[in-house]
Amino acid sequence: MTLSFNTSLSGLMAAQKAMQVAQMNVSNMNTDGYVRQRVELAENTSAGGSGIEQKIGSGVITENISRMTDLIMQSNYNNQSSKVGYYEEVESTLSEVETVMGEDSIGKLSNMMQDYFNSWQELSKFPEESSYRFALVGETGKLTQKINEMGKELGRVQQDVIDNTQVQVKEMNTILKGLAEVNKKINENGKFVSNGLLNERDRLVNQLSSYTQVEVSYESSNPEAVSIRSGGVYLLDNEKTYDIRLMKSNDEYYLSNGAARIDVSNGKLKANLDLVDNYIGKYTNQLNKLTTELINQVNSIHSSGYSMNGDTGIDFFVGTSSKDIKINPILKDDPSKIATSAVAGVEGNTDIAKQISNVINQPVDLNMNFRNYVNSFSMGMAQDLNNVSSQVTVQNEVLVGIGERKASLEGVNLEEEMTNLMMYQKMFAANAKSIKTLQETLDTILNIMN
Amino acid sequence: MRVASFHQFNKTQYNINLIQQKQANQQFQLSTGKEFSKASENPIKAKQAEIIKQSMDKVEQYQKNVSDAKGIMETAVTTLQNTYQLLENVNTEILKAQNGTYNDNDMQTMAMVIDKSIEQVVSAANTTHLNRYIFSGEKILTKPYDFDGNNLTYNGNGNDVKIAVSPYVDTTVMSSGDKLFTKTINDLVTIRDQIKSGDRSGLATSFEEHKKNMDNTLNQIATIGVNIDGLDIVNEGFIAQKNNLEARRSDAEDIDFTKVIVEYSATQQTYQATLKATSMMFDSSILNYI
Repeated sequence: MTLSFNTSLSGLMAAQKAMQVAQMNVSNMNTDGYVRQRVELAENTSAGGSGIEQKIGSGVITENISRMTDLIMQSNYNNQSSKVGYYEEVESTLSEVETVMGEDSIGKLSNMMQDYFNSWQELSKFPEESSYRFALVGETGKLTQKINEMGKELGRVQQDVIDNTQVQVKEMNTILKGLAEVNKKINENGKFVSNGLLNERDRLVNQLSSYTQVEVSYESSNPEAVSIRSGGVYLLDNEKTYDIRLMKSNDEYYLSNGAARIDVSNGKLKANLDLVDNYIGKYTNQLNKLTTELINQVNSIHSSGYSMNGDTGIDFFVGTSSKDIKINPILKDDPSKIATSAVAGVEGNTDIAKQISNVINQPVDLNMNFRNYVNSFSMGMAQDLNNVSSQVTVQNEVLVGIGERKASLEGVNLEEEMTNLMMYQKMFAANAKSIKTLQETLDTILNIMN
Repeated sequence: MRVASFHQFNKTQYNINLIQQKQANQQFQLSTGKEFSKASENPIKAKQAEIIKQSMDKVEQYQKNVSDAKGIMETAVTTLQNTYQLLENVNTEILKAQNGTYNDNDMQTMAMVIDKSIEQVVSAANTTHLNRYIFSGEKILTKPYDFDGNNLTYNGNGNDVKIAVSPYVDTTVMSSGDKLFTKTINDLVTIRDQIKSGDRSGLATSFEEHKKNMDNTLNQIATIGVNIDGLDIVNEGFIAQKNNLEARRSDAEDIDFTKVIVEYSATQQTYQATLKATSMMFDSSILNYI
C-alpha cells in the first residue's frame, strides 16, 4: 500500500488554481475585452503503485486554463466593427457638410437662385428704374456669396478629411506596432502563453478592425502569433511591421504599406477615401458645373444686350468656379451699365432681361434645368446622409447582436463565478480533510510500532 | 443562452439610449409643429415641401406681374377716356361749324377751341406712368409726340410692350401710340385748318374720319378694359392656387399633433418601465445572499 498524500495534495492544488481562476474572473468582470478563463481538470492516470493499484490513478491535474472564445465569432465581430466604423465615419463628415453648407433646410441655394432670376423679371418690367437695378445687384451678391461659401466649405471639409486620414493612418501604425510587440512576447512565451497577452492581442485586432477590414492568420511557429493582412496585402507579418502611408497620384488617394498598394475595404480609412472621391468630390463637381453653366449662359445673353446708355459686350459674371464667381465689378460700380434691351437705343425693349430671367428653365446638364439641377443637388446631399444614417442604425444593431452572442461565450457571469468559488472552496476543504484523515491513518500505523 | 453580467449592463444602456433619442425627437416635433428639422431626416418630404414652396414663389411672382400690368393699363384707359371726352367736344364744334349760321369770327373761335383740344390730345398722348411714356412703344424714355402747331412727329417705335402674367399669357401693357393717336391728331389738325378756311365740303369728309377715330378710341378702351378684367380673373386663379399649395405644404411639413402626443405618452411609459426594470434587475444578485 502506498500511503501517499499526493492524490489529495493534487486535489488541493487543483482547487487552489480553480479558486484563483474564479477570483481572476470576478475581478475582471467589467473589464473591456476580457475573456473568461476556465479551469480544465483531468484525472491523473499515470501509474502509481503496482498491481491493482494501477487501476486507481493518482489524483487530478490541471490540464489547461483555457480562454472561452471562438475564432469565428471574433472574426464576425471584427468584420462588423469595420462596417460600423465605415458608416459612422461617413455619417459624421456628411453631417458636418450639411451644417456648414447651410442646406439643412433644403432650398437655401434654390431660394437665392429663384430670387436672383426674379429680380431680372422685375427689371424687365421697369428697366428705367434704377432701384430695380440696385435690387438686381443685391440679389446677385447674395447668390454669388452663397455659392462661394459652399465651394470653399466643400474644399475645407475635403482637406479636413485628408488630414484626418493621415491621423488615422498614424493611429493604425501605432496599433500595429503594439501588435508586433505582443507577437514578440507570445513568441518568447513558448507553450503557456499568458491569457492576458492573448486578450491584449485580440483587443488590438478589434481596434484595428474599425480602421479597415483585416484578415487574420496564424503563420508563425507559435500558433498564437498573428499576421494581419488587408485586401491581401501585409499590414503586419508576425513581428515585422510595415510603415503604412497615405499616398496620392493623379488626384487619387490610396494607402500603401511601403511595397504594395492596399485596397482597404470597410472601416474608417475606406470611409475617408470614399468621402473624398464619391461624396465630397461629387458635390464639388456638381456645384462647379452649375456655376460654370450659370456664368456662361448669363454672360452670353448679357454681352449681346444693350444698357440704357448703349453699353454692350459686358460680361455679367466674372470668375471660373464656385469659389470665385461674382458680379462683374464694372456693373457693381455702375448698375446703369446692366444690359436689358436687345436693340440699341430702344430702352423699353427688355428682351435681354426676359431671356436672362428665363435661364432658370434652361438645361444645365442632361435635360435638367437650373431649378431641377439645384434641387437634385440639395436633395442628393440630404438623401446620401439619410441613407448613411439608416445604415449606422442597422449595422450597430447587428453589432450589438453579434456582441451579445460573443459575450454569452466570453463574458463573466457573477453568479456562476461565485458558485464556482464556493464549489472549489468545498473541494479544497474536502481534500484538506482527506489529508488529515490520511495523516491520522499513518499515526495509527506508527503507534502500532511504538 | 448564457448571460454575461457586464454585457447585461451595456445592453441596458444601449436600449435606454435608444428610448431617449426617440423622446428627444418627439419633443422637438411637439415644440415646433414640424416633422423634421433637417432635410436629411426625411429627404422625400423635404423635397416635396421645397417643390411646393418653389411653385408658390412662382405664383407670387406672376401676381406681382399682374399688379404691375394692371397699373400701367389702368393709366392707359384713363388717358384714353379723357381723350375720348376731348374728341366728343371737337365733335360738337364740327357740328356747329357745318351749320351755316355762324360767321367768320365765330369760325375762328371754333378753330381756336379745336387748337386747344389738339394740344390737350397731344399732352394725353405724352402721358407718363411712373417715369415712363406709355404710348411710345418700346422707346419708353422718349416723348412720343412733338407738335409744333402744324406738324406732328412720332418719336416712338411700333412695337408693343408685353408682360408675362401667367406661364402661357403675355399681356400687352403698352401699345405703340402710332396706332392710337397719330391719325387722330393729324385729322384734328386738318379739321382745324378746314374750319379756319371755311372749307365746308372738306370738313364733311374729315367729319367722317373723325367719327371713325372716335370709334377706334372707344374700341381701344373696351379692349384694354376687357384685358384688365381678364387679369383679375387670372389673379383669382392664382389666389386659389396658392391656398391649395399651402395646404399641401402643410401636409408635407407639419405634424399631426394628436398622433404625436399619443406616441409621446407611449414613449414616456416605455422609458419609465425600462428604468424600473433595470434597477430591479441590478438589485437582485447572488451577493445579496452570500
